[in-house]
Amino acid sequence: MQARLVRKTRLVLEELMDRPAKNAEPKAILVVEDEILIRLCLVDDLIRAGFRVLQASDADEALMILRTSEPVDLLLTDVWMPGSMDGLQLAAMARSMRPQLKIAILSGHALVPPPEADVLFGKPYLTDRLVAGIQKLFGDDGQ
Amino acid sequence: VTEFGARFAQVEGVILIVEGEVLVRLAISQYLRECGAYVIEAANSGEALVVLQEPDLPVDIVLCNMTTRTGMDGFSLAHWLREHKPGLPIILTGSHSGAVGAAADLCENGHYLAKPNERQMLLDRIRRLLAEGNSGDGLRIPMQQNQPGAD
Repeated sequence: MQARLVRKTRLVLEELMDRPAKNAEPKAILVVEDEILIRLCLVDDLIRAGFRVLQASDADEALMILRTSEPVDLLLTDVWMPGSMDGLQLAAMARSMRPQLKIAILSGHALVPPPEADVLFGKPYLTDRLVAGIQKLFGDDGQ
Repeated sequence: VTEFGARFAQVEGVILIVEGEVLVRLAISQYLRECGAYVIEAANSGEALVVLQEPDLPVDIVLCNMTTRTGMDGFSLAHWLREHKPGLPIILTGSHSGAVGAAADLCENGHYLAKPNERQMLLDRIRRLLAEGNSGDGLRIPMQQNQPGAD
């Protein structure tokens, strides 16, 4: 009887502990990419993977978003872009504005993650690897 | 089948939003997505033309700010559409509140999950975002000529 009560209590506690994770808001990713068709595919892949996605066509637009109170968990940025700064400069500035922000770089040239970034993804990217890498960066299933 | 052909085979109700003010584009796009629309975001008419000329991207309606910062303006884009894609509807908006009204109409009257009575909330959100986005000490991007509530 007591063992059954303990087991039931444990189940209730586990359910309560699980509940915030299940009801948690999806992670928000800010995609910064100047090539509209690449950006479209990135956004589509990440929305299908269950993330909340914001997008900017260059660093200036990304900074506009980062200056607001919009929740952003990850900055995913291309390196070479037109505008006032490139993706690495954007990453450094974003880090200073939001120290907790995770940063991922998309590059067809770099071989190791630059110091401004937490992770580097090659370009052209593979959807499965990109999504898995982002989920790993968030330390769980990414949701 | 091309990548876009495969990707968009099951997608319906695609709205292409052309808006140079990123914070307005962000709020309206998220609102339309919550309504169930598939939204493609273009920062200017040049990006819009790239999307519109991609044969396997099925755009159903274009929602465009009349005054885009770079490239052709909304009227020119409408003219291009009439010539190259007759029948594809384009909604031209001249202010943030006009864009909000158009988005809300699409949401309420289209084949989407209706979300009435949210126009003011959406407009308030855009105003807040614009105020926040322009309050920083760093990079400043000029506001559009058309301010919220100008309609």
